[in-house]
Amino acid sequence: MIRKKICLLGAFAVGKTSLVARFVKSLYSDQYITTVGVKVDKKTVKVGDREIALIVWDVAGEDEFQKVQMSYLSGASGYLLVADGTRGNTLETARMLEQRVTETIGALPFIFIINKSDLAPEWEIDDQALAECESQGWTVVKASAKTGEGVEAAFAQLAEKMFRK
Amino acid sequence: MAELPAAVRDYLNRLASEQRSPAYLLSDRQGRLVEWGGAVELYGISNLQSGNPIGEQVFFLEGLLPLENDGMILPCLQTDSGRPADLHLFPTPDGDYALLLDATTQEMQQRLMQQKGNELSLSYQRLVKEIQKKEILLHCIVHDLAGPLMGIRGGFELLANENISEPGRKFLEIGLRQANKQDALIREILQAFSAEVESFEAFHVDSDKAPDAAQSAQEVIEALSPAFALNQVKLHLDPNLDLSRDWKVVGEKSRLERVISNLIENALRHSPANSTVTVGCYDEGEKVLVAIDDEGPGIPLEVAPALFQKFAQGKKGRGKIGLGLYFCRITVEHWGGEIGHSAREQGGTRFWFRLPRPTKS
Repeated sequence: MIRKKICLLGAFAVGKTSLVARFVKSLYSDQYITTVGVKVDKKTVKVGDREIALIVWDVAGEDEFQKVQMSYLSGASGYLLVADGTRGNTLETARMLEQRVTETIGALPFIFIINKSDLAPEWEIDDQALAECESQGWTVVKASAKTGEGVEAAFAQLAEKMFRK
Repeated sequence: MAELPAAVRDYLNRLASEQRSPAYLLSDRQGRLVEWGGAVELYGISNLQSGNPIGEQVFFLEGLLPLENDGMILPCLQTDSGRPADLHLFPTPDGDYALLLDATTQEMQQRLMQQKGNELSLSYQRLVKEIQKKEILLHCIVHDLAGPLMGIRGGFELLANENISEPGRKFLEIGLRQANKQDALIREILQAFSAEVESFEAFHVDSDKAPDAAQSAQEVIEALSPAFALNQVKLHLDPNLDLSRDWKVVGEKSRLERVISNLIENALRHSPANSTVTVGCYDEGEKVLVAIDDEGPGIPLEVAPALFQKFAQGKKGRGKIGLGLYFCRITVEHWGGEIGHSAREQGGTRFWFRLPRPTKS
């Protein structure tokens, strides 16, 4: 079976761990528990008629005290960039991370997930900001780890992108 | 570094074994598992087979081996089935080693601090949002207060054309004056608020579209001259100012004029009759200094430090809500500049702001 390492990157508390829990185990919890270092999970998906084992690296979020360690991305075939729709500054963190990944590792396929679509009325990141991301070639997916909306689609799109490359 | 004595090396080995539960895996240059040992089960690793790809058997090593560089340390790696571990990857002549050292204690300690820090940060962000919502509500209320005022002023102005007695005319003038004052107060609040809310508004950094500070000063002087004449205070540009030079600054024209206007109006409020207010622009290389000099009594020591804060007022208040200078500060700082005041040697005060020159396009 083909195995591909992917990483989830983003500011702290945007929902990376919740997205992984939803994707891998179909579980969700409202409780916020911070991730230290990295948590690695595995799930098999289908791309066309191929089965692929996705090795998912859920990397601790970036905050003012610690930056994401780029060595966690070593050997990755792609990544998911995650922002929280209700916190505008997490989009800026996502932009900085994308730039840092490109400078350190090189251009990798990625999908940009705006999480917490279940809280859309409270969103600070508006459609104009997302359109700007799309105009720069980003693939943007609105998702909710809570309801499951967009989660499978985001991972599936990344898997397809990695194979198209 | 000097070689460590054997006793020290033995001690360190015992320390690692007793406290860090080391486990290792050795792979060859093709990424196949060659050998393993130590406490591998503690990290959820089992059913290993020599000769098979290491990434197939230990899923978190997928993509990491064989090593492409000198090695790396990946701290605090966790899976569902094992303890958190610091993963050390390093090359040797025999192949690439993956060394796992128990990081349970470190993970727990860091998680406690990180959790608290992140929770506090999130609480702070929520609080800021709540405050912003309340300020927007306040702004809407203040904005709505201006509505009926227009009717009141209109009514007074129409009444002035009617046949009314002298005392009645005096009361009418008082009413109109107070209505105008109220209007000015409301405009000041709204202006300061819009400066905050629109602080991310675009401004010009290219020379083509950047405003000219001297030109803006000239236009403001023209607009405010009648008010100065009414108060018998002279207002002019510094006679040494060369208007033919380039006085372009980073910013936006209408707001730059608003800043200059606020500072000149402030000077007027504190200038006695028969004094002069002078406005000048001065070249500071990469920056331009704009200065407004008055011949007033100076700024009392007790109010000086907070003059550019919200709701700061002079000693007597003078009927203003104290947001004009605040507006100037947040606007100038947003454009990368500085603002301040100083006492003049010859008496009076200089209010100044400094803005960077725009880039040549």
